[in-house]
Amino acid sequence: MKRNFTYPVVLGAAALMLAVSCTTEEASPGLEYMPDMYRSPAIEAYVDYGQDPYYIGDSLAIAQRNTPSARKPVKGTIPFSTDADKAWENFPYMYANSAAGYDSAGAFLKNPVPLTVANLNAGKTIYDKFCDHCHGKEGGGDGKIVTNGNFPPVPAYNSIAGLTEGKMFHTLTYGKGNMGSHASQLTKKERWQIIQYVKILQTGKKLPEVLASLETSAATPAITGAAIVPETDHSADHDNNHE
Amino acid sequence: MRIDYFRILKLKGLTTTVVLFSCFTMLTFSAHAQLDSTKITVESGKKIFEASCATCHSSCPDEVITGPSLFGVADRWSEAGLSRELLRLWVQNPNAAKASGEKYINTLWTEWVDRRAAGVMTAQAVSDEDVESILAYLDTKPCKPKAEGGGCPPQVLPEEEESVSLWMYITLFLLLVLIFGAAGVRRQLKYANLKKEGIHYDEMPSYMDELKMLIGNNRKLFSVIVLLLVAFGAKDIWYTLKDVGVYGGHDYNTGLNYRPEQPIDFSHKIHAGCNEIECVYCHSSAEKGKHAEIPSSNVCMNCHKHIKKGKRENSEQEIQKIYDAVGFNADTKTYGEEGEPIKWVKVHNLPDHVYFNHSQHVVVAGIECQECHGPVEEMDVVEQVAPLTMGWCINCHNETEVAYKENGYYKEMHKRFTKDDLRKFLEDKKITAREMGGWECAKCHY
Repeated sequence: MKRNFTYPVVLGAAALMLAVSCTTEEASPGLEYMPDMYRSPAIEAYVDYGQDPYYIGDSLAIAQRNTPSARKPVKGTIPFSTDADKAWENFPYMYANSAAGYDSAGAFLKNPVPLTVANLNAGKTIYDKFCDHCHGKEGGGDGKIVTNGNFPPVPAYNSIAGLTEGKMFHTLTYGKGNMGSHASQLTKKERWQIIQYVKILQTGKKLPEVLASLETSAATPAITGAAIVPETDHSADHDNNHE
Repeated sequence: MRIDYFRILKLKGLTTTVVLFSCFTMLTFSAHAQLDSTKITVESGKKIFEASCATCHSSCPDEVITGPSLFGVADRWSEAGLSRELLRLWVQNPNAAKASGEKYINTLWTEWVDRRAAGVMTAQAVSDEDVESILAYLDTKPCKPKAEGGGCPPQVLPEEEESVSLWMYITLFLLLVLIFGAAGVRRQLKYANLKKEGIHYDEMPSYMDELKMLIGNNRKLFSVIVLLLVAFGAKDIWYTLKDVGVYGGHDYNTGLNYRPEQPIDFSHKIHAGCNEIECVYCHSSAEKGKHAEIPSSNVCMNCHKHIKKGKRENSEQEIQKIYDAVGFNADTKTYGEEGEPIKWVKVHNLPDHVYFNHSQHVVVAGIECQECHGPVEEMDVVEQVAPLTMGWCINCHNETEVAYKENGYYKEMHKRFTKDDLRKFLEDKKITAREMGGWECAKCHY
C-alpha cells in the first residue's frame, strides 16, 4: 500500500521539474551575458541598439529604437571611383521619370557596356536572378510568378521588338506600368549587362551562337561608346532620381 | 538608236492603270472600313488580349492594373457618343486619336496619362479586325475571380505556444495541498489504528523519519532516481551554459531553433520556394557588400504594387502593412506620404566584434546561401539553423576546399604560396580556407 502511493508522487515531481526546466521561448535569442559583445558602441548597420536598455540607458534606448541604423547616403552622394573609365557608373541618371524622359532616353541613351563574352555571360547570370521569375527563362513572359497566376501577364520580349535599349534602361531604373524600379538592387553596369542579354532574347537569337560568333570576331573591335547625354537641362528633374 | 515610243507609252499606261486602280481600292476600303468579318473571332480576341492588353488592363470591372479596366469599354465609348472607328484608332495610335479633340478622350488623357506620368498607351500594331476581335472577346465578360495566392499553398504559421498560465500554477498548488492533506490524514489514521490495536508509540515519528525509513527500505530505487536527476540536471545546465552569450541558434533543451516573430507574416516558402524568386533579388547586397540586406519596402512593392492579397485569411492586412510603410494607396495605385519603416527582427546576428562579409563568401567563395542559412525556401517562418558560433565558423574554414579554379583572387593567392607552403598544404591534395589564412585571428577580429 505504501509503495503504490509514494512512487507516483516522487516520480511525478521529478518529471514536473524536468518539464519546467524545458520551457524556453523560441522567439527569444537566448541569454546575453555580455551585451557589449553583440552591441559595440561603434554603430553597425541592422543592429537595433535600442534593444538593450541595460547597456545604454533607458532614454537613449527608446530614442535609438526609433532610429533605423540602415540609412540612405546624403542626397547627391556619388561613390568615389579611381578608374576614369568606370566613372560613368556612378553618375546620376539624367532623364526624368516622365513620359518625356522615357521618350528621350529611348532616343538618345545608348549602351556604354561593350558587347563581349564576359558582359553577355554576366548579363545572363544577373537576368536569371533578377528578371527570370516574371519574364521567364527565355523572355517569353512566362515566369513562375505569372504562371502561378499571381501577376498579370508580362509581354514577351519578341512581341516588343521595337523597344530600344534606352527605353529598357529607363524602365529598369524607374519602373513602368506594373514593373517597379530596380535601381536600388542593380548597379548601372548590371542594368546595361541585362539589357545586352535581353536584346539577344528579343531578337530570338541563341546565346551560345552569339557567344561563339563573338569569340570568332574577337579581333574586330567591340561596339563601344559612352552614354550620349542630350543637351537639354534636366537639373530640375533630380528630385525624381532614385539613385 | 531608235526609241520605241509606242512601247513605252503602252507600258506607262499599264502602270498608271494599275497604280490608279490600287489607289482606288485602298481608298474605298479605308473610307467604308470594310471589315473582314471572318477574321473577327472571340478566340483570336482572347489571344491578343492576353498577349498585348492584359499586362496593363484588367477585364474585371473597376480593377486597375496600370491602365483602366476594359470591362464594358465599348459601351463607355458609345455612350460618350464616339464612333467605333475612333476607338479602333485609339488602340492603334492614341496620339492620333487625341488629335480629334473629343472631350471624352481629353478626360481620359488627364486622368490616366498626365496624372500618373505613366506615359501614353503604347500604340498597338493591330489591325481593325484584331481590335474588333478583342472587343468581341470583352463582350463575353471574361472576368474570372482571381486565383488568390496563385498556385502556392498558404503560409502555415507555428501554433501559438500555450504558456504556463496562472491557472495551471493554482491547480498544481491545490493538487499538492490535496495530496499532502490526504497523506496527513492517512498517517494520522494509520497511527490511530496502531494505537487502537495496542501498539503504543512514545512519539509519532516525524515526516523526516518516515522518509528515511522509506529510503532505507528502497535504497536501490532511490539511488537510481537521484542518479537520473543529477544526470538530467547536469545536461540541462551544460547546454544552458553553452547557450549563454550565443545569440539565437538551436536550443538544445527544446530542440527548437531561434525563430522570432516578425512584424509581417512573411513566408519565404511562398516567395523563394513556390514563386522561385532568387534570394539575391531581395537580398541583393549579399553579392555586393558586407550585409545581406533586409530589403527595403520598395523591393516588396516591385510585385506587391499589384498583388494585394494572398491565400491566407489575414493576408490582405499583412500586405497592407507594406503599403502603410511606403504610403501607397492600393485603390488608386498612387504614392502619398511616406510612412513608418517596417521593423523587421534580425534573425542571424553576429557579435559586433566579428567581421563577416557576405560578398566574400557568396561571390568569391561561391557558397550557396542555404549552406549557412538552411533551406529557407521551405520555411514559412525563418529560423536560424546554424549556431553562428566561432567553433562553427572555423570548423567550416578548416574543412572547406577553396575553389581557386576559375577564380582570379584565389589564383593570385595560389601564385603567392611558397614551395614549402604548397608542399605542406597539398599533403591532403586540397587547399582549405584555413590554409589561406582562414584561421588567422585578425581575419575576423580587428
